[in-house]
Amino acid sequence: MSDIYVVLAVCLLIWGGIFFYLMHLDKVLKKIKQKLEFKEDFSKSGR
Amino acid sequence: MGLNRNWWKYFLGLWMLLIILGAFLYAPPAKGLGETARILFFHVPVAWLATLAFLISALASMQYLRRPEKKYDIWASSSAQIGLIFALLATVTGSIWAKKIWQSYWNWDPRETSIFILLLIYAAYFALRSAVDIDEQKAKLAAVYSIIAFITVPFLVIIIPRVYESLHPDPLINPEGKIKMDGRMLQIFLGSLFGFTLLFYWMLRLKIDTARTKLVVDNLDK
Repeated sequence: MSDIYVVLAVCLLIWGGIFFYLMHLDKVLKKIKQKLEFKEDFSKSGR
Repeated sequence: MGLNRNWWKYFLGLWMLLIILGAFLYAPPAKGLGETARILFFHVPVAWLATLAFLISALASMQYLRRPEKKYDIWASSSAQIGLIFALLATVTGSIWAKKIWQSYWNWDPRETSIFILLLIYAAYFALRSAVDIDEQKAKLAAVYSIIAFITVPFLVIIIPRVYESLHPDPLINPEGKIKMDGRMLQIFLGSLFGFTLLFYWMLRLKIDTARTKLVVDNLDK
């Protein structure tokens, strides 16, 4: 296999890693925000 | 049915995939530089984004000094952090290219020396932030430092590499204000610039949201 295809494969792998990591971070952060909103609503309701 | 709010993230995923494929399979090799010049599709955008990130950090710092609100400090530090990552990536990609062309990873060329100084300047920004415990004092000192640090950016990125003799290829936009690049290479290059800018926006949003969420959690704990 030509070197250029190896470099291409490495670049695609790196991009895939970055993309899925950012998507994962996005999801985790969204969940934390939802939990915090729930907590705030809960404390505002006086319980 | 409304559009998924994350549509642009999936678009970016696909866009960058096409750009990477295009950089290797569509764009022709550069005249005189061969296949190795394909690195410019990644090296130049990350260098541009480092400059943009440091500019945003300096602007947010100015805003903080005008109105000392925590959100401006978060913007400034988040942008500087991402800027430092991009500056490091520009150094690494440049170094890989230097090994192929100049047979050495590091040559203390004016470009390499100036980016090394830039990395040190922004590393010191974070050393300063971690050295001060009081939040307001930290934000104020960091804001002043970030503005002063940005003053060096045009000198280190634009002026010094043009004043001293350098092995580095000429800037993309030559002194006549024209871009000397093959049409297909230019398409991929501009596409890459757009993709990386969108990636930077996503990273900055995530970093700012994380910092804000941490602030809320810290306040809950108190």
